[in-house]
Amino acid sequence: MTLTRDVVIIGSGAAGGTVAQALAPLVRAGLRVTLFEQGAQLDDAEFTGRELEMANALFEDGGGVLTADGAMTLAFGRAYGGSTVTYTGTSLVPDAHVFERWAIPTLTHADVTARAARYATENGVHFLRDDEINENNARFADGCRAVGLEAGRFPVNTRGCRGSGLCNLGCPNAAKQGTHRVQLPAAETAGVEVVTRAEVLRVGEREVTVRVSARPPGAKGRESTWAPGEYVVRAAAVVSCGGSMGSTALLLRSGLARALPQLGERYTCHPAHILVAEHAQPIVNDVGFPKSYFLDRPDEGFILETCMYFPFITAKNLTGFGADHQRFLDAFPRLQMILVMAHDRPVPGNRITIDTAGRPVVHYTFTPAVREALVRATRLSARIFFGAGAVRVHAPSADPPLLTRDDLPHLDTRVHARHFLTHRISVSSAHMMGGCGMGADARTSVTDAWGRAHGLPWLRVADSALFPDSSDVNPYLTVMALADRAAEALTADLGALRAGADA
Amino acid sequence: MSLLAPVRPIVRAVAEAMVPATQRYAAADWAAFEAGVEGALAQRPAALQRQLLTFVRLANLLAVPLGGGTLVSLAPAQRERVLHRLERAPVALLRRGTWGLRTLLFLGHYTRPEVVAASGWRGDARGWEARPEARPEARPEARPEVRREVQPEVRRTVNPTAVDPEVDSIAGARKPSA
Repeated sequence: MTLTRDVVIIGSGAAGGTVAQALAPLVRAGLRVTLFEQGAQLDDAEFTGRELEMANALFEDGGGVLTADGAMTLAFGRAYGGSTVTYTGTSLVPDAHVFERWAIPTLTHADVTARAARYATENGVHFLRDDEINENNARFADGCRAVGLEAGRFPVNTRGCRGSGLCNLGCPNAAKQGTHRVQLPAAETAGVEVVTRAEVLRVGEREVTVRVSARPPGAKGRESTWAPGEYVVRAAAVVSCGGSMGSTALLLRSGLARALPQLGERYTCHPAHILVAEHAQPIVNDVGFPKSYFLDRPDEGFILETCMYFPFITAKNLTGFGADHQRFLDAFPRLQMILVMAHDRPVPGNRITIDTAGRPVVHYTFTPAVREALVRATRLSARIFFGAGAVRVHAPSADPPLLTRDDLPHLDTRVHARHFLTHRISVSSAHMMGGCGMGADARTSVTDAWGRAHGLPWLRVADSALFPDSSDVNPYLTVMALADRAAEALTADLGALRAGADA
Repeated sequence: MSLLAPVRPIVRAVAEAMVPATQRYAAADWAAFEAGVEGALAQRPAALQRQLLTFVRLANLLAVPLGGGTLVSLAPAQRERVLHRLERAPVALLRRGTWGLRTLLFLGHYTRPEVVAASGWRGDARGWEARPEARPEARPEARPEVRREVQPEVRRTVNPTAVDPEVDSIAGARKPSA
C-alpha cells in the first residue's frame, strides 16, 4: 500500500518526540506528519518494575546487544518514547569546551543551552529535595568529600517521583518525563500520527518502506493503529530519529553509503563500569531516586555517577563468578554503587556497520586512553567508597577484583590497565553517539549543522547519531536541542521541499 | 523444542560452579531456572544460540586437559577452577564464551523472584511509601552527615540561571568538583 504524507519521522525517543512536537503547530495548519516507532506503547499498568520482564519489553534485545567482538553490552530503548522510557532522567548540558571541540558552525554552547532549557522546563527538571536523597547517594557525596572533592547534584526530570528506584525499567508511576509523557502526547493531540510496532525497513528518495507488525501473543503493549503489513509512504521530508544505531543502520541498509561516505564513522559511547562496594551495615539503597550525584573529572577523562541497579544486572557486571561473586550478591542491602563512564573520542575503526540482515553492528576497540580513564575512575571510586565507609570494593580492573582498606596504599598497582581483560570484565554503554556526524564538509561528515544530509535535502537526521564526538555527559538534553534545531531548519525548508515533492 | 536439552547436564554442572546456590536446587528450581535461560536464549539470533551451545560442549571437553575430567565429571570446586582458567584464557573467544555463559546463568538465577527476595533487594513501585522506615528523616542516626552535606555549598556550585523556580539550573549543574 502506498500512502502520502508531508513529513515522516522515524523514532519516538528524545529526538523523534522533540521533532514531532515542534512540527505540531504546522500540523494544526494542515501539515500531514506521521511518526513510526518500532517498539510498542505500553499502558501504565504494564510497567511492573520486574527486571527481566521490563528489559524484554523496553530494550532492544532485552538490553543485551553486544559489540561485534562481544566485549561491550549496548543498552538502548525500543518503545513509544525510545530510550527516554528507560533512562534515569538526569538532565545535563555539556560544558562549553565540548562544543568548542565539536567545532560545528552555528552550534554553540549558548544555543544548545537555551534550547535545552526550554525542554528542561517542559520536562519539569529540578533538583531532588534533601529528604529524597537515599544513603547510597548521600554516601557518595560523603565519600567525595572525604577525598577532598565536591559532588554535584543532578537535575532530574520527574514529576511526582515516589522513589521506586525503578527508572531504568520504565517508571511504574509515570513520574519520569520522557517523550512518552510530554512531547509525544502533545504532538498527538495536535494531530501528529504516531504508529507503533512500525519498523522502517529502508528510506528512498522522498519515501520510506515500513513494516507494521501485530502484537506477539503475550507481549506487552498496545496493538499498532495500522494493520499489519508493509507500506510505502511518500513524503516531502524524512527525519531519522532512530538513535545512533537505528539511524545509521537505516541509512546504510538503504544504500546511502555512497552518497554519504562518512556513514557509520565517529562512533562514541561512554564505555562504563558499574562498581560495587560493600558496607558492614545495611544502607538504604533500593528505594529513592537512584542517581542523584555526579563527579565530573574532564581532565582525567571520566565522570562518576551514583547508581543502583537490580540483582541480575549487578551480577552480570561484577567480574567473575563462584562463591566470592555470590557473597556480594547476597549482601545486596549493604551495597553501594557508582557508575563510571569514560569520555571516549572518535577514532578510526570504531564505527557502525550492518550485517547481512541490515541490523546495526558496532565495531569498538577500547583505546589505551579509554582503558586508562576507566582505571583512573575505578581507583578514585575505590577511594570514595572507602571514604564513605565501605569495607570491600569490587574493582573490575583488579585481579583478584576484591579490594579492602589494606589495598588503599597500593591502588595504583592493584587497579591497573593490565587487568583490563576484555571479555572477562563487563563493560556496558547506554550512550550511543555518532554514525551520522554533523559538519560542514561532506567528506568528513554526514549532515550539516542542522541535520540536513549532505546532497539529500529531503533527508534529515535529528538524533544522537549527529554527535561528531562524545558529549561527555548524559546526552538526552543535547539530543533534544539538536532535534529542535533540525525541526527549525526543516520548518524553514518545508516550502521548498514540498514544492520539490510535487514536482 | 528445548534448546538446552542436548547440553543440560553440562549447563547444570557449570551453573553449580558459577552460582553455588544452585547446588541446593530442587527439581522445581532447575525447571524455573532453565525456563528463564531458555526464554532468553530463544530471543537471541540463531547463530548466537549455536555458538553458545557449541561453547558449552567445548568447555566440557577442555576441562579434560585443564582439570583432569569433563566438567560434568568434576566436583564443583574443580569445575570452578577450570572455568576460571577459561575466563582468563589468552584466546578471546574462550573468554567471550565463558562471559556469555555466565551471563545467561546469572539471568536464570538472579531473575527468579525468590532469589531476588532472598538477596534483600526490595524494589517496590510504591517507593518511599512502601518503606517509610527507610526515609532519611526516619534514620538520622544512620546518616548524620546528610543533613549537612546537601546544604547550600552544593547548591552554590550550580548556575543560578533558573529553569524552574524550585531549582537552580541545568547548564551550570555540572560545575565540577574541585
